[in-house]
Amino acid sequence: MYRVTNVLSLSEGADAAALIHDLAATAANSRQVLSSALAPTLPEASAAGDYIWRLHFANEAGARVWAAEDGLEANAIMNNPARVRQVDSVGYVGGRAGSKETLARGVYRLLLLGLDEAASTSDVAQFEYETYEMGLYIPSIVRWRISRVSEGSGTEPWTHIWEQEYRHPDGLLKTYMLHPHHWGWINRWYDPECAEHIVHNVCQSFCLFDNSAF
Amino acid sequence: MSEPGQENIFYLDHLVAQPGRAEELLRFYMSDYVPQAKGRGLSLVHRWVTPPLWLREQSNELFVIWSVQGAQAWWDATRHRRADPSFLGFWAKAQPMIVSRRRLFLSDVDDVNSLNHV
Repeated sequence: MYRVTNVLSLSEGADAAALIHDLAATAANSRQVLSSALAPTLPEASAAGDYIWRLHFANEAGARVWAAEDGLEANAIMNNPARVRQVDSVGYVGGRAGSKETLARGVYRLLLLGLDEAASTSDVAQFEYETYEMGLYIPSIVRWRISRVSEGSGTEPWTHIWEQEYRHPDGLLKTYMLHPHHWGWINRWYDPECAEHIVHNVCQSFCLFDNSAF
Repeated sequence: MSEPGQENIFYLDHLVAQPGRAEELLRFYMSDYVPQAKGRGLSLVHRWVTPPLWLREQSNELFVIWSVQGAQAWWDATRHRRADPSFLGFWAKAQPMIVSRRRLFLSDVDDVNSLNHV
């Protein structure tokens, strides 16, 4: 499975309904797209962007075929400054994942990460493991995945995407934030006052879902 | 054992000073870093040094311990810092006096269950 996830910020005055319709059509028309989900972001906690658009393909080759066919129209829409102000986009093969149960609906949250390109291989591996480990310790995370980005674009050079699913927004905004694995352990990779600091850029966003990203 | 949300969370700055420079490093930490950190809501709890004499030819190790009350206060202090990254200037200026440093976050063992019950 290969995934392309986009965080879209609409231009002022853009017709959101038309945009959603037009983007969804580029996925619906394609045999390469196995599933497509386009949802408005939730307003809480300064979520980035106005919409999250997730596309699944059988493999990276399928994504490339789509990009050269129906995806051309999608890219034209997303590169039209009258409609879209900013796009952060990542393509990736799903990395290490965990699951406690399957949710029919809930909250999907993503965190795009830009790691220091000078970070050691062992530090990156440890960071990835501890990120995966969050799902084992934090009870509100129901499904989770940390993946390396194959291809990214946008405001920063994204290297990873950290995805989670929760039953309710409180699972993210309270339990995830207040759990000691977050502030007392993994945060050191993000904290410029800690010697382990390697995460230089982040973009977080979340939305409701009614079809699991996993 | 503390009430939920009222647990003491400790920050430990473990600094290995360059030989002969620990006292200078501590003075700079106190004059430049401490006012910033207090402004973010952190309370200075301990300033420890080993060995307990200022070495001239070898490295002293400093252990500076801060605290906040509850995980929410930890995030409040972190958000204050993100809004004003002037602390980075302190660490850049202090770097020539430091061999290595590490920051750890700790709690009383009796508060572990409460902190994890979120």
